[in-house]
Amino acid sequence: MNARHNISAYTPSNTDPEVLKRIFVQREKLLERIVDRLSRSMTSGDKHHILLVGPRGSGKTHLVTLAIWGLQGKEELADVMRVAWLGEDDSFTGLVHLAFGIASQLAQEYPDEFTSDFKTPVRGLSQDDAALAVLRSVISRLGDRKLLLVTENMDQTFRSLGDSGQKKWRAFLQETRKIATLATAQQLFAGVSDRKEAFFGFFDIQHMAPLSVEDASELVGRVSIEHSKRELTSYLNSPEGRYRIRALHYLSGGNHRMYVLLAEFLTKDSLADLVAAFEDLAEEMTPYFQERIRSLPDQQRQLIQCLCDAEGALTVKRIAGETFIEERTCSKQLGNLKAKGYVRSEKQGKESYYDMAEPLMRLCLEVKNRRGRPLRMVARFLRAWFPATALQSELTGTNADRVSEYCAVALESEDTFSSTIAGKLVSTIRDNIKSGALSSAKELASELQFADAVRAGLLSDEIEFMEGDLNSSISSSTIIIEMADTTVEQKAEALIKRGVAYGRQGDFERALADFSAVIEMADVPMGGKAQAHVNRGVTYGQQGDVDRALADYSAVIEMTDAPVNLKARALVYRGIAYGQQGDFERELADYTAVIEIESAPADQNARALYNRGVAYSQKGDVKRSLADYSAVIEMANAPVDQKARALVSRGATYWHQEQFKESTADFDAVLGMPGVSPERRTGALFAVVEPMVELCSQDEVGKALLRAFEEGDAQSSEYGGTPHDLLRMVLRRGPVQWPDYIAEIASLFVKYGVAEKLGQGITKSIQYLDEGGFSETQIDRWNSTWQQVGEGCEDLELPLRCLDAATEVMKADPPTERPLFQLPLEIRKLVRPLLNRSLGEPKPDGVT
Amino acid sequence: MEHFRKRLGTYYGGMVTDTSGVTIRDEEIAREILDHLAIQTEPQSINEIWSVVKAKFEITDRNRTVVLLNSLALDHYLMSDTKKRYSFRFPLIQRWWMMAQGLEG
Repeated sequence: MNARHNISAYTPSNTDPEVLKRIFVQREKLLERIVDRLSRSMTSGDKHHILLVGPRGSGKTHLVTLAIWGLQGKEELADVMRVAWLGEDDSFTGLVHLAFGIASQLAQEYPDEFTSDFKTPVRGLSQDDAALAVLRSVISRLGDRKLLLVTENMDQTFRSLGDSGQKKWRAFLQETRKIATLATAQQLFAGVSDRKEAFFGFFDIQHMAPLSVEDASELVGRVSIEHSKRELTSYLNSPEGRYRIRALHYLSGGNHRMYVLLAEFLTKDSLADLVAAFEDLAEEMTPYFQERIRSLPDQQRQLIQCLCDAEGALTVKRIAGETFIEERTCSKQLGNLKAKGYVRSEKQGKESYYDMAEPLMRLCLEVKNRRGRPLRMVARFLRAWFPATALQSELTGTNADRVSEYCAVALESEDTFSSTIAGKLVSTIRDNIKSGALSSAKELASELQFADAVRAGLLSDEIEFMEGDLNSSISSSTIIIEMADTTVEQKAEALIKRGVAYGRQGDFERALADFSAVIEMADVPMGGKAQAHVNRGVTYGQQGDVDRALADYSAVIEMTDAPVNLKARALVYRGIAYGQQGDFERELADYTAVIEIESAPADQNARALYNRGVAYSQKGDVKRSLADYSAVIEMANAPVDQKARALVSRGATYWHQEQFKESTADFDAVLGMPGVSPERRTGALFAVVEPMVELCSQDEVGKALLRAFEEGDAQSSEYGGTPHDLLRMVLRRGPVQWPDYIAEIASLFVKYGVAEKLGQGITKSIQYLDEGGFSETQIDRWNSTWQQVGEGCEDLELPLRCLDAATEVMKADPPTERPLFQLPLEIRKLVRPLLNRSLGEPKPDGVT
Repeated sequence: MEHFRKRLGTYYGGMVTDTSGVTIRDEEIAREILDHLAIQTEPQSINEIWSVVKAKFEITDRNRTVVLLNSLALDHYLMSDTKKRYSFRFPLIQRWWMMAQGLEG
């Protein structure tokens, strides 16, 4: 006997719960929660009502079966719980039939406790009165026990109850408080999601998420064990096994039932077995899908037929064109089909693309219409599953059988299946790379080699580069560069990647050679060429060859058809290079040029604005600098970190202008922004403390500084902030407050291990002290407080000696450098310029 | 006050895919949350709000709703009390939202 029949894919409630438990994946916690809540409902006054929502085959009945099995296995519930599990296909036409259904189920399950003749006493009553009478009789027979009502397809039940039936049912549940519910529905329905309906907010709704590829792999592995095919488990963990699971994933749409049906396919080694298994499956499932399609209105059936014929997603316009159904009607009917779970849509730009929610439904229509010819979808699947060489050898080996027919169609068909899987894989790998999940990205890249070897190589190369494994990255690129069947674009991409890796290794010569090779290659698209110029420019810049760097950036800027993002980047880089040369006018002109390109990418636009703000600031043009920072801050689509950077710079500018309230607001804004880099956030956490010294109490300042140390990233160079600016603010407060401030600041900097940074701040405070017009007593107070507080702290020893010596200089009359001679020479040289007000500008060496 | 409604589209441009593969914009979820809170007289707990969101959208990521609530608070639509229960920050906007969205209290 075929072991597969141990597991019923269509009626899990008929499968041994022990088996169901063994193949249960993904929802262990949810099951635990459901059992716990319903268990409490049976033993306490709380009543839980749970609604599981998910499309056909998403594992609802599997979950319900296990929940009931779990509850029935609890000894403490044996005497207190009774279960009325209504049949999945029971149809009710009103509250009275629901009541009959419950009474009948209870009579069947518990014949000693509930009567099967529940109809006789209520004959002659109106439907509503009969319903309530039967329900009351059930409640009275329950006695002190509680009832768990299990009902599938709750949406249909609610439709049949109607508005008044729903209200009466809700009132009954509320009034008796003896019934808990475990229900399922294929989708959300007005009865529970419309705010005006009686059951809105009543159910604890749990949506059944589709299986992820990892969960699917787990499920297939467990099903295989049930089928006594343990060897599959290790195969499933191999890149090829995972790739095949992914191919199944596309076919099944993450649907549990489909995996149970398709699980055995993974064990088919030969094409013949696989083809036969697929044809059997298609044959087996045809009645199921036919039934579903037959129940649809004519127009909707036509739309389904159109989507099944297509090989991918279609726009409404295209569907309307194919079916000759008016576009607006088409759109409405597609909306209905989507609500019923037959189709799904995805928005790309302004257009919505529709596709079959269950790709296997296509098989059904094909089985009906192909009359013995190979099923197109299976052929496409084979194309993705086996390498072309395997199909080719099968074709030439046995020419007349069924398998070779399939191989012929597979080889003729476009490889859209694997390109779709490859496309999805590439975008997942990209997401992983972006979020720093490099090991998952690497694992996925190893699967991708079965769908697109070159792309897999390029991505592996990128991942190795990010992992810092530059040698592997260079080897991967070299393989692609030397492969015979790579396209010019792919070769150029690999050369650029290898050049970047060489650059990172400091091998500028090889980096330049790779970039130059792309620039000199014929037929390379302009994007690749422009990218190579930009990268070569950066490399020249790193070598200090600004003229050559400028020439490369200019080459991109002058290309008529270079991609706008690269043109903008070249302009920004050229602006920076001009800035390094001190050519302020040209620097500004380049940033302005980016700002004026309407279609420039937001990040480059923001970068140009920010850089221009910095350039203005260096020239002392505060007004224009503030305007540019503000423009970045107000840009709707600027990257978060750019915005944060502009806010920090504007906050600092306001601080220098002594506009402390505005300054605080900007730093606070950074702290309220989600997604800011830890570096930037740390900077803002410390910066916000400085203006607070002017605006808030010392207690609040202390709390803010503590928060900065606690929440800031200790690895960041911003950790600890700029203590000299903080001390400058403290100096503005009255000397009476200095001791408390100094004690608090010193203790925190020492506690969090950045006393050295504070030491630099103390040294720099000498200049503020010298220039601030403080009296001798005040200077003494500042010094003596620091000496007391910092005593014994090794990191502060030298800065405190500097401060002590500087204090002597400032107090001497007439001023003299002599006290500084107690400091080591190199330190003396650092401290001397801070005392220019007292001692005058130092004379050049050798001048007496 | 229309800008309170209009700017939702700009501020909440993120997307989430529901269990049927349908893409839902954060803006739609934010709007639903505001609709619900507009007709409440008492602040609502995160769980209460999450159960309303689940009744409207087939989504499973509770955390995303928590983040959204936090953002709505940062953007001054909502405020939360010490028990992490949410309500409109300004009664005036709550009343305007109810009227503008045609909600019945």
